[in-house]
Amino acid sequence: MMITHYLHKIASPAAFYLFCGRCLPWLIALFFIVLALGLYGGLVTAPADYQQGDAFRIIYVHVPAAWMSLFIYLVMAINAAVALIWRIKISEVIVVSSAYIGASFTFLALVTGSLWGKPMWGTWWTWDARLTSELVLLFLYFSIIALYNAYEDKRVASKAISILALVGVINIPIIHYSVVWWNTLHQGATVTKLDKPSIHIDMLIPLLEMAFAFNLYYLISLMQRARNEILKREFNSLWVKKLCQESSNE
Amino acid sequence: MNEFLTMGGYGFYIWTAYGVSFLVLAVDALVNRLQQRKTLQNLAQFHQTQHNPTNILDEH
Repeated sequence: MMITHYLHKIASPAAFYLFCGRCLPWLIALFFIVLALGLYGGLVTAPADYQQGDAFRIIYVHVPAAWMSLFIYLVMAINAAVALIWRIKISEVIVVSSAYIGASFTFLALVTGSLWGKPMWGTWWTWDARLTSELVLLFLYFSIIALYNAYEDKRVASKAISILALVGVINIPIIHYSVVWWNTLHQGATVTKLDKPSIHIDMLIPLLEMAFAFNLYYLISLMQRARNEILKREFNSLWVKKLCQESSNE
Repeated sequence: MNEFLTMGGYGFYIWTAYGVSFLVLAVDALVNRLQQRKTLQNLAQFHQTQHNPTNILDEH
């Protein structure tokens, strides 16, 4: 009962705007601390791989970026469903605000994967299932952004991209299981499987730290974009007027 | 130190991967900041021309 009350309150645009504003400085500070730990662990203290030497250190940007590309899409799809069913404004804002940073992480997963593939596989790119489905994900993010910007009325735009995001969710299990279902150069899952992770703890900890740092960055970027989007949508409401008045008095 | 930079011969690939990653995140952060500033400026302008700020609180 208390949780639904709290959720109801935070789902109002004004409360959400203020809540994000209060959280952001702390999240940014925490992001830099975790990032520094992850980078030090990944680049300095983790031992070189017995097969790949130091080249394996690309894992610390590649794998977290790839995880984020999928995770952000799932967050988008869940919010798309909520936006379509209950017409919750904050969910509409989260869908569009996630698309940009989701596209960025997908782009990074592809580029860092390419930079890893060249020295290890001998090629920058191959049209196998994992790489192709991840590229499809990048184009999905691009189409969501383009579709949103094609509409003048942002609530109609949100409805359109929510439907597109939900249709595109079929790609997510395809990406995850692509290395199992098809023959590929790409290696199988190391951490995200039911069995014990097949990576040494000294290599795993920096990976989890980097993944946490990227998650924090997603949260920061999402909140900043969402705040901006809320202001644009609510420009004529009383609380925005008050906000402008307060900032002009400062 | 030199060993750290060459990364056992993989320096180019590793540093490019890390460089691109932080460049993309930095650009994203910069774009967010610029957009927020632009929105706040537009809003301030809009509310200044639309109403006399002192009347808003009285109206409601």
